[in-house]
Amino acid sequence: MNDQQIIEYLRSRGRAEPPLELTRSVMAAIDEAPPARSWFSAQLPALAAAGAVAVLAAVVILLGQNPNVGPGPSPSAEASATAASVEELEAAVSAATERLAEAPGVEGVHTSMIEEYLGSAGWFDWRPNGDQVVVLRRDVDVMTPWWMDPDGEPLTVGERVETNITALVGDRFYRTEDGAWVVSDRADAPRGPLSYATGLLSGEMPAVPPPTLDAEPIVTRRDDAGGGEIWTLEISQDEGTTTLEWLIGPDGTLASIASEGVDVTLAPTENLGTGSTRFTIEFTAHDDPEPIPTPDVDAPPDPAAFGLPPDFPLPGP
Amino acid sequence: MWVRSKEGEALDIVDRAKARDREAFEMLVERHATETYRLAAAIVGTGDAADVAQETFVAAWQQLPKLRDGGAFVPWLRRICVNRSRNWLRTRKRRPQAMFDVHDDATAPLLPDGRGDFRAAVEARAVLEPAFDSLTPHQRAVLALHYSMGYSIADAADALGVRVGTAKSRLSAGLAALRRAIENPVRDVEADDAGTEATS
Repeated sequence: MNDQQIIEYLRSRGRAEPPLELTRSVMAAIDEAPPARSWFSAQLPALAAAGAVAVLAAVVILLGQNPNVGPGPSPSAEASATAASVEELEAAVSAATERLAEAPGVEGVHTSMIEEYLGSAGWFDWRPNGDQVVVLRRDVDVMTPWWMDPDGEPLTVGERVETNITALVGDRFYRTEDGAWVVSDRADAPRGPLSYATGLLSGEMPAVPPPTLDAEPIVTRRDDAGGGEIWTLEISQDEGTTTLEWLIGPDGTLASIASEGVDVTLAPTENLGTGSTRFTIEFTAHDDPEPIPTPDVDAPPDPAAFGLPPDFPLPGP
Repeated sequence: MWVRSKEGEALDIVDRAKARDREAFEMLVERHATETYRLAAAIVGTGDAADVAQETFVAAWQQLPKLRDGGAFVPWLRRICVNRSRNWLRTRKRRPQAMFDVHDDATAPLLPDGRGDFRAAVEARAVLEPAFDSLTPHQRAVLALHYSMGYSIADAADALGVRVGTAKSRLSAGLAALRRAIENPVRDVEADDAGTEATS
């Protein structure tokens, strides 16, 4: 069997003729079909939304090359929320982020969801000198854009999970590839942060994503029951809305970021399909952390060797 | 041919269909039925292609109001068809289909010199069909989009919702998997039964 025969066979599969009555049967099926079910009716609280392309795009790309999420922003207590300006939001969040980055070490977990499926989860450990390790797991079939089909579902969930580890330690840059370590000089590391979260800590990412020009953001501030404060940024675009929420702890450090989008474009560059996305990042400051361990390049990459929490939300293969 | 709906007339039809104009949608079905059916057939086989095409159009009718850019109707429809086909492979039991039909244009290319080498064509298809059936839905889809439908890598990537580089690598991997399946056929009793039934 040569390649030409294979190609000819594949071409032949695209030359089938449809049955003559196809159009008629399609229209008959349409007449019988029930109205479309809302994608979001099952789970979308009136609250938030994810739509602002610029906001999500930045986060999405850096959190795992897709829309990200975890638990969404908590329901806001409208009565106690006060309106604020974008400038006030930026000042508060920037100060809280800088204060967090002053800690000797910061660890955290981020999760991202598409509809009700966990698409990716990451864990990071960061030091002020720039040393860091980032473990990113992606559920391949959840991240594949099944949502473009109105009734689509992921091919599998939790079955095809990829794990990637990247680390900057000392003067070396480490990354995993095909189950092994690849090492290069730190100076040769790809430009940009290893993750959105560590990019925030290093100042490579803006504390507050710039809203789209045509969106009129709504900013509010309210007290958190734990003694801190909660800032929200809500941006509407087209028919969707994105709400981002920053929790600043009583000590003035950034504790978490959450975003939830409803009816937002999940593939901004293609303008196809809308859906619901949520992501969260939770930060934990450490006063006396151990140095980021140097990867054992002779051993298979193991996230646990860096301290990946046992309750990490997306189990590996 | 599947033509991108850039012309005013095509856009107008899409817009009317979005506004729940049944007659306009029927025009879209007529215009795209052949390509949709062929894409489905290339992925799932002719035995189930009509059902998948029908599901594709029903889904398109239901969700068309959500399509923001009417000019994107064609790639949007392709994408629905690809996803429907993959879901079909994943969840449904496929129907038997003819191993070879001399009257089917789809088999004509297997006959190197017109109708001359009938036996060789039958033998080739008998090897290729089960090999293709053994591929994963992802592999089938990318091979179907590029080789069966003749779409560019970029258009195939668009239909799959992946980057061009990813589509290229999937295409290469799909071809390699098909070659392996040809070299190391896994006997599929069900497929054999189906073929026997259909050709008997």
